[in-house]
Amino acid sequence: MSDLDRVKQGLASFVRGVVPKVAYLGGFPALVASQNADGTLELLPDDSAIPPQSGVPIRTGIPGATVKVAGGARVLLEFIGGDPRSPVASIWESGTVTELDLATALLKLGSAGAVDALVKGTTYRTAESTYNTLMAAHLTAAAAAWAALAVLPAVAAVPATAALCVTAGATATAAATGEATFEGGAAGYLSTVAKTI
Amino acid sequence: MSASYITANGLPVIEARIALPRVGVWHADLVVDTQAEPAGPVTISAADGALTLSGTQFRGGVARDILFTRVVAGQAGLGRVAPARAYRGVPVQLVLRDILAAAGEQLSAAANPGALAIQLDRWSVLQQSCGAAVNVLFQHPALAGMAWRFLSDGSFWTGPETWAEAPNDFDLEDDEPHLNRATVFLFSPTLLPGMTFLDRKVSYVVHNFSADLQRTQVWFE
Repeated sequence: MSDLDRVKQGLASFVRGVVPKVAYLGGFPALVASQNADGTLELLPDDSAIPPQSGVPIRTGIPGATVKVAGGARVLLEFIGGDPRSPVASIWESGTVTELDLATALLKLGSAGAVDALVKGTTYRTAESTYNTLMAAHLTAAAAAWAALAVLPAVAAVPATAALCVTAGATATAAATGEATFEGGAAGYLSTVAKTI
Repeated sequence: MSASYITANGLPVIEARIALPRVGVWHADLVVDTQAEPAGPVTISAADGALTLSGTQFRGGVARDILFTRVVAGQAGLGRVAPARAYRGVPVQLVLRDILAAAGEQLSAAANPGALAIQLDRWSVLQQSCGAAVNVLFQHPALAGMAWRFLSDGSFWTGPETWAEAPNDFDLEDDEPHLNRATVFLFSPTLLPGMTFLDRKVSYVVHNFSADLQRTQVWFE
């Protein structure tokens, strides 16, 4: 409060007395001490004139969005409408987000023109892995069958045909190896930071 | 009725202007026949016992061999700073008690228990004057219709108004409907805010006393 002469001080005190909610209308920087299981925050305002707040809901500004943060994040504490009953944590100054959930029927990335659906990774990979296992078994069996066929006397008597059988067996073996290599890299195919329903 | 009809700690009062609001803190501006400022509590009394007010000098001093003093109800403490504190699931009484403790004031035994028992799911008192903290508390919707003021005994009271009929012993000097105000001579200064007078609800009372004048102004709701 700037320096006032005594007459104005009296008026200023009177005004503060009759409109006390003005003091609650600011945005107060605060430290997140911790986040509760229900998503609310324990806040320590920078200004000692504002008491520590418990169980403060977060207003992300996006309907359906919830966030989990690590302690030490910094956020703005506000009292909605200057109401001492309604503290909220609003604008984030800084912090480590450990989880961000968007509950929405449709999420478009890029622009409103986004029309290509994202792949449901886990579901797709499970089905793909099942198929790949079947294919690997088929290719292994096929390689063996081709190898056996190549040495049959009737096939061996026709060198060109025997050569085709050998080639077919080799490609089947290579494909089975390719399947195994593909599945071997499975741990790296799915994002650990982005998930959908 | 002369000004010495009013005394302050037993000392004759030369002039007195006593302002009694329906909501808030009463105060009295006195000219007292003494050359010493009060050291502690100030009791303002009417000779016939019709009026006794307990307060504390808020500001004053001796000039021209007489004391000019502003006496405020109770400890004159609502200007003190209330500490910042947050509450969850507490009655109004707890918050009010903490604010009054910071102010050095006392809660009246006549305070309405229903008002005091109102539950606050959540409340925050910012570091501000105790008076501002009280004002914002009484803006809580659950306290709508509850008044608060300091009583004659210097204690803090809250509750719904009863609008009791005021004693009918006066001479009407002036009635100003356009100002919602009346000026009367009271045979005994027992009129208080929160009463019904002249069929109207009393909002603010100012008693004026001097050697040749005794007049009460009444503002209505």
